[in-house]
Amino acid sequence: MIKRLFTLAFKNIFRARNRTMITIIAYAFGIGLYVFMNSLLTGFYNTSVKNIIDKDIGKIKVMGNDYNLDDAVPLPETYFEYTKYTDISKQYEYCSPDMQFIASIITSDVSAKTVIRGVETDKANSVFHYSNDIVEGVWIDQCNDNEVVIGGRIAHSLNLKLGDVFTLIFKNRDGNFDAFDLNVGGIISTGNPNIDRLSIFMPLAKAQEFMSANGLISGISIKTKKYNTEKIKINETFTGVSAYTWEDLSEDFLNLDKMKSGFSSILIFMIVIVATVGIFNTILLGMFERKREIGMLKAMGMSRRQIELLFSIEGGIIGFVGSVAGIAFGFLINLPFVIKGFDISVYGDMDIGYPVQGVVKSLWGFEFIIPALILGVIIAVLASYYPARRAARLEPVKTLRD
Amino acid sequence: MIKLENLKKTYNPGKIEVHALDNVSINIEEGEFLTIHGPSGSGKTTLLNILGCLDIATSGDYYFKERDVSKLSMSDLSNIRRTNIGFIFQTYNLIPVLTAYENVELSLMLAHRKYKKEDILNALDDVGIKDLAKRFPREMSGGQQQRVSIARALVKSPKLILADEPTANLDSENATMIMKAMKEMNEKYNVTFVFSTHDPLVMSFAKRLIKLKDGKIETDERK
Repeated sequence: MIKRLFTLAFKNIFRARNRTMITIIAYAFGIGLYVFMNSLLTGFYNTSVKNIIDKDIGKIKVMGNDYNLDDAVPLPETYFEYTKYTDISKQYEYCSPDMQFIASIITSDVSAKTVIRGVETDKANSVFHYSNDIVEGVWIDQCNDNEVVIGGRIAHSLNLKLGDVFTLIFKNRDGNFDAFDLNVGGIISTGNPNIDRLSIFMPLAKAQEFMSANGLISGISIKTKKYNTEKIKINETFTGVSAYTWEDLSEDFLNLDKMKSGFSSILIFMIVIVATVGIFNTILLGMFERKREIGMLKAMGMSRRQIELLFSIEGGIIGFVGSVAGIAFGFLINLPFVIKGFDISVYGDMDIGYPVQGVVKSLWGFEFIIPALILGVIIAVLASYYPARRAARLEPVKTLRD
Repeated sequence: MIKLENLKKTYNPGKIEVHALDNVSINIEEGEFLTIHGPSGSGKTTLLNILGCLDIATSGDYYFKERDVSKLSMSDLSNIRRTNIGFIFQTYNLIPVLTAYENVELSLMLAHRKYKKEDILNALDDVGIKDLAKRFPREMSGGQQQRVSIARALVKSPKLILADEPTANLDSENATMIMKAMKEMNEKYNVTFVFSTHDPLVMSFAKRLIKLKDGKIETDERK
């Protein structure tokens, strides 16, 4: 009997072919957007996470005990002994010490805020592979004494080219202002706007000298697999420092991602609601048009439950076909963004909240297929519940007379 | 097979009451071929609906195969309809998206009967439209559609077939053919036919004529 109900339902939904097709198209549009938006946002999220871990923080960042999570760059008073790095690095293969501080960069006519990153070249390379990101000039291990590596975006905005001179002004650990003239020895483009827009790389020893902080560092970046467990282990083993995961230090980005996903979910939800109203309308109109037929089915002994089931199956089929078409549509509009990507450089220096720049590729949202399909069918069945219930409650005596 | 005792059907009880049936008592034996006729508003359709367990009486008793069905729930009445009663309507009421074969098959499915393809084809053959098994209702004439509805009513071997103005939409030639087909089925399978009609042609085939007026039996004649 169920098989016959499915056959009957399938035939019924194509009785009003145009109406059904419009409903399916509207539904497919909603589901398609759901798949596409989630695929695109996942692409942005994954690229962002990769940029944060591979180019900025690592999986774990060890900071001085007094480090405040609100500070984007650790303050000099939170610096800690280099020997901590010596101890910690014995346990982790990929481990890089650094010293970060804020400075102003001044050229002949422009100035900008920058973050100095003093790193040990080989260690930084083992964690962040910066030498692969050099687009002009050389990495700091091949720079001359006065040369540094500058982020591509900051170089572009300040119109700095290889060999150009600029002045760096900063307040050292003793509270005194210092200024140095430096040359551009290399330009780096990591794909992480936080680095490319703000950072200047120099050897750790030079940064320590600039800050009058010999033997001190501001942080240690570590790449390790089970980073949550390792974070606890470091905090339990070493005193004077605190370990943070990349998630701890990227709270703003993660919150923003949640918020954007939430907004897109609301938007898609509203589209799906409109499509759902379409299904409701299609089934309800079908019910009104087939009153006499329902009466006949009841006269023949079809139970209320079977009538309800018949109309729910009709809604479910529309939902299923709409969802499958929507998934196909979502994949289709996602295709160019997966192959060619989404070029956010057209927005210039605008901060979109994700630590990404240039071309960001969308992902194939295979993980959204099953939820989209299940969600699509469930919503459609729920939308047809009321018309199905009304149909089931029709009295054959009245409907046969209509 | 059917016994009605003092059956009453009142619409709008407690307000402006309309007595559609007023103290109707009838006995109908198995294999009868009878018509209920009378002017519009005389209670024919109401009586047919109650006989078909589509509606319940306000008071009185209705025994179907010695079972009192007047106090049954709509769900129990649905079970009786499913297995024991077939319906034929003026407007055929075939399911438009199903073929003639599928329309007949649906009746068997709803009756939870085990069946073979031959059972359905035989039912269509009985009414002379086996060749039209694959046609949809829109591809058939009114007479052919009505034959499908007869096959649909008969295929589950019901005890009772209720026909509400079955010839009203047919020309005289088709109406005669339909009536002959039903008469044949009545004789072949001893199934009881009850017609609600105005049509003298239908009455000419009947062995018993019950006339209703103002919800009461005015005459009950046997030929």
